[in-house]
Amino acid sequence: MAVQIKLMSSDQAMLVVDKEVAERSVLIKNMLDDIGEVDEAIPIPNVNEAVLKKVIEWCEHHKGDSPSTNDEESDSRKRSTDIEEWDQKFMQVDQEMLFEIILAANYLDIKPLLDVGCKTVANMIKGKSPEEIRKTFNIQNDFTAEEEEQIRRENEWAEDR
Amino acid sequence: MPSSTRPVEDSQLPPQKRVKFAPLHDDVSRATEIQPHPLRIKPSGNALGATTNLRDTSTGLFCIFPDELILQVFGYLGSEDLVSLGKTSKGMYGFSRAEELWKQLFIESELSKNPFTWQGTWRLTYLNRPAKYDSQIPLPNFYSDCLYRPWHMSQITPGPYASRIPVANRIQRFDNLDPSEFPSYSSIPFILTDPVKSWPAYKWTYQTLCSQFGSTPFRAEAVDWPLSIYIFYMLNQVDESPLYLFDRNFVQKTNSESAFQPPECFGPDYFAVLGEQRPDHRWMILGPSRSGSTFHKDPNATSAWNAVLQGEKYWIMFPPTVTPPGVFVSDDQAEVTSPLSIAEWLVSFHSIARKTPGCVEGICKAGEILYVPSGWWHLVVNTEDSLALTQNFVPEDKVSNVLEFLDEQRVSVSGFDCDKVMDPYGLFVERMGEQYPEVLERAQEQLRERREKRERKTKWEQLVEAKQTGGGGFSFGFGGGDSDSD
Repeated sequence: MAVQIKLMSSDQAMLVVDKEVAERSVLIKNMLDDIGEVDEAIPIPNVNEAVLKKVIEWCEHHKGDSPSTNDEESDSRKRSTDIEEWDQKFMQVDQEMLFEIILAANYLDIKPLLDVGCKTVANMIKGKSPEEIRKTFNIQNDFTAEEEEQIRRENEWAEDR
Repeated sequence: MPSSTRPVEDSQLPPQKRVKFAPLHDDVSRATEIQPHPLRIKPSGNALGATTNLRDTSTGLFCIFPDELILQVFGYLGSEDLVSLGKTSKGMYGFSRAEELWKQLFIESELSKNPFTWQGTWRLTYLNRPAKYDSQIPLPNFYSDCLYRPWHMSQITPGPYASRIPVANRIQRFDNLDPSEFPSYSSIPFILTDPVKSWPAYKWTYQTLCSQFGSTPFRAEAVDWPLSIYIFYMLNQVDESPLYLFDRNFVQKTNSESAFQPPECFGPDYFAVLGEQRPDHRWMILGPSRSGSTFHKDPNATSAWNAVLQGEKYWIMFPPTVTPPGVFVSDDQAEVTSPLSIAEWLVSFHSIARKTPGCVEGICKAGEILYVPSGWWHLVVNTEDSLALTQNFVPEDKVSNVLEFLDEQRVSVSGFDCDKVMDPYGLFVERMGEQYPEVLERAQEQLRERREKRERKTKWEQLVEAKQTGGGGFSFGFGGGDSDSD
């Protein structure tokens, strides 16, 4: 049977996970490498139960992926925002959950999940008008009329290329 | 003037426009004057005394992300989406104008592959917008290190760091050396002040090169730009790490085979035996103040010379066994991580580096040439707009170092055409055997001795260690066998 470890979410929920799955998180992997075998639950103080469950679900599905190192992909920073189908479905959550998953992936150091999350948000911006972007991300327009006019004027220069 | 020495009451002070450090006589690093950020963005720390921060109040859902993450998301966007974002709110206006986003966009785009007009920043160049038509809406209550820091670093001038070099650190300077004298100096950096002055290339300036080869493309990091465009960029940029022109085909492009001559004291260059299979080995280098190379060792344990034709370069160097402060090397030496830009390194690590045993420093002026011995760490930065030529070579004394490197650090060997040269070590040995059998033999003998010495030392260290730790053999960091693979 696979080795299992326990994780403790910020809201004190205990989650039991295969070690292999948890080690998709570089943070957890390094921690386990350092402390060896433990019975106690590893505290994940920045992530609540609901988010941690989602993150684990993603790690479960991707446990067989080839290990992500600092590969060239991150260097050349591919601008493509293509996302595989399963991940697309996985990311169909409300904005707040999406942002929380990204924060958790950042904190737990799960680079492929972080990338998928960032791409998902980027895709929510792409092709939208300023007003649509404001609505999607709950952004308040705090420009004065005069400032808006300045921006409108500068962009006249961008359009004749 | 007596009035300027009188203490001025706060109320009399004009509103502060810039952070200015008064030059102190005993500290080189304080003479830098930092202009305010064009959008008046300030460092995150300043938010502590502020009532609001646009970074938090004007970014909607994004406020829970660290700044780096916001920029990472925006890194997937094209120019039109960034422009749209910039129209949504002041906070987004600030983030959407980060130069790193636009530099990436421009370099990846077709725009940079055709003639273009440099407009002073990457964003304005991408949008082809003259600066005078750009809105610069001030965001005085926006606090973000991520957005402020690159600007701050672009305002650092390296000059003050290159001054007041402690006597003990100074790189030796000679008029010239005789070939018979070189072996006594081949393991330390030095500067020769004479040889370059008789090169035809000594008369080169970027201005004259531009008039002759202005439309010829030269390589600057990831882009090939006509020289005239690069020079216009060089003189009109505010980058934290300005693009550095580093062209390996300059001899063909400028038809200058006879315009320079390696100093005679270095003797024959034994990497020449590789002929067509030799990795790139000579470059023309041009860049503005602040441009340069972060800490590295030259490839394949080659040595190098670097001749300044115009301007001035500051060098700070460490012997092969001393890793410079702020630099991280993997156990097998294959990977060097130097996460900081040159300016950041100067600000954060220069003073400690200067006090680190082994550190040597020097300024190489126009008409002077600096020798980089095999394996030495070096950071080089232009203190003025500078033009230079450089060449990697292998002097007789260092043939053994190259043999050792090619044989033992195979993953780090670089520059060879992998399709044609399967075994660089074997090729070098073979060619040396054909052309310089005696030099090869002496080098192999030196290498044997060095390996035996290392072997003895390792055994001694093992004994000492076993004694100290009671046999456990724990060693921090550089352990060979017990890696973290479990």
